[in-house]
Amino acid sequence: MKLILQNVGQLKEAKVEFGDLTVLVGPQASGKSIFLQFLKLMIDGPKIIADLKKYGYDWRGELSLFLNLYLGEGMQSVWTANRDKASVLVWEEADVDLTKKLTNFGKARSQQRKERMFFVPAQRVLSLHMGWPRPFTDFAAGDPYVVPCFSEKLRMQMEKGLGGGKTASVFPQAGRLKSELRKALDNAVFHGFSLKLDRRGVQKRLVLQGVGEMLPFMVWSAGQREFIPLLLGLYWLCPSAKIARRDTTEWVVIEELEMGLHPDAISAVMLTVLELLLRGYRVVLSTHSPHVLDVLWGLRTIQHYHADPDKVIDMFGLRRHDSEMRKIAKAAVNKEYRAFYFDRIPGSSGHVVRDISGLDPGADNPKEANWGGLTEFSGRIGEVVAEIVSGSRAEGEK
Amino acid sequence: MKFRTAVACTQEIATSLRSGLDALSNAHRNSIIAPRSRKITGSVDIDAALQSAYPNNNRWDYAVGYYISNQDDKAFFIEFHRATVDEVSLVIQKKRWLESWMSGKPIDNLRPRRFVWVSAGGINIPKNSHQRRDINNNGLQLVRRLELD
Repeated sequence: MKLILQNVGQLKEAKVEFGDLTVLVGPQASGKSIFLQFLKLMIDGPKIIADLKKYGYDWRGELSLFLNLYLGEGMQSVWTANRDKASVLVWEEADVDLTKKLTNFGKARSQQRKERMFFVPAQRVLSLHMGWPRPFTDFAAGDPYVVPCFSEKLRMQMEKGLGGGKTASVFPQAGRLKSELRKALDNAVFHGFSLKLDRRGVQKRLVLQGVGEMLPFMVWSAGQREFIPLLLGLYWLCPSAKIARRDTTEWVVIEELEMGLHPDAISAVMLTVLELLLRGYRVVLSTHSPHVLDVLWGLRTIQHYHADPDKVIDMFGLRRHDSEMRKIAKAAVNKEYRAFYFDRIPGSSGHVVRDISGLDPGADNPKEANWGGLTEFSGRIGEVVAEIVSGSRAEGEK
Repeated sequence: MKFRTAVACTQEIATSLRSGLDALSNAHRNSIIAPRSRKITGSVDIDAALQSAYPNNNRWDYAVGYYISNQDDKAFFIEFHRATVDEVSLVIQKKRWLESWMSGKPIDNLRPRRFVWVSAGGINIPKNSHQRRDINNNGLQLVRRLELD
């Protein structure tokens, strides 16, 4: 599976061949989000067109108006027809005429309108208002489609009864996520609090419940506000009972997975990502966190040396005896991992995408060694410290 | 394989085998924690033993044997070195040289084995730096004190 974009927004050239888990890194505004939204458009075009029409949006067949609706207000300029810098999109080895493609999406049959990609946007915190997911229509026409789409999905899940049991507990909930994952998330994010459904007449809201205290949305920590929409998304992807995957969904995109989270919580979420891989999803992440690439590096090293799959469990500091964790670990060593760096072209605002899947910290190419800039700063601080320390010879050195 | 056998059969270091941690200088010995010191089956100052044969190479410091069964000893290959980012490539070179020198010799057959960089004076290589990852990527562990176990 390969997506190529040329001259699209700030992306001069982006060629990404997806693995089972693909991680995109790069500075702010380097085009990662636009790239992922075009990927979503190629995979879920018929559903996107159907949704926009259902909610009454009309772009009169004009590509620029469609891009304003789909990518968000002011984004029409990312696609250009200028002769020397015309935008190009290649999906699964075929050149795509975007205007024609949109028309064809509009003619798709209902079977083709089923969603294949679950997209967790970076702006996910906006999906909750006073502790309840906002409906699609609550968003403005200029908001990127992926945000109301995500929010609506969470709302539907909640309206259909998540947390509707006797305990009204949304987290933790037996049968939802593996017990070790629940423990990891509890230790990293909830610290003994539970996420509950609070009903007042027809009004419903999510609250955090401790011993004798009930905390509404506005007093949640920033990390909890960021994490809870992601948790609800993960619930949607990991249905209870013995269903591995949700409906027709094959792809999962999580933008900036680490947002607002402590490294312990990032580890817990990365463990959940491995659960998604076990369930057969193809996952794409964008991140500014070296922890995410640490996990990828560890997994690739385990594969390279044909090491014991239980080393995956060791990476997360968990006990090896848990059979569910061993299943996750066993699946993880058989997956394909890739990483790409959205690199700024010196002296311009344009970016090119480089394959840094090797993640070799000793690579000759500094872009790969520094994991697309994520470890560069630490390395530089280390060099300054070395300069200071090297003035004196350490005690005991031969 | 037992440590003493491996050393005795490796001609260039055969006469450098010492009991316990006797091959290590006093300062270096202080950085080794061995709760069960009787399990230490010997030590070799590789650097000193090979100095005249390889004067211009970046030689590794020590090898220490540790009892795990009647058939096998665990080998600790230990380098004492200042831990700053500008020293990372040198220590990696030393390890590569050690591996190349050991290749095909009986001492290369010791399993399990660990390659450990000890920096008693402190570690000034950020855990998040690519240099720190490069250390691990080359099969080295960086510690302030080494516990033999």
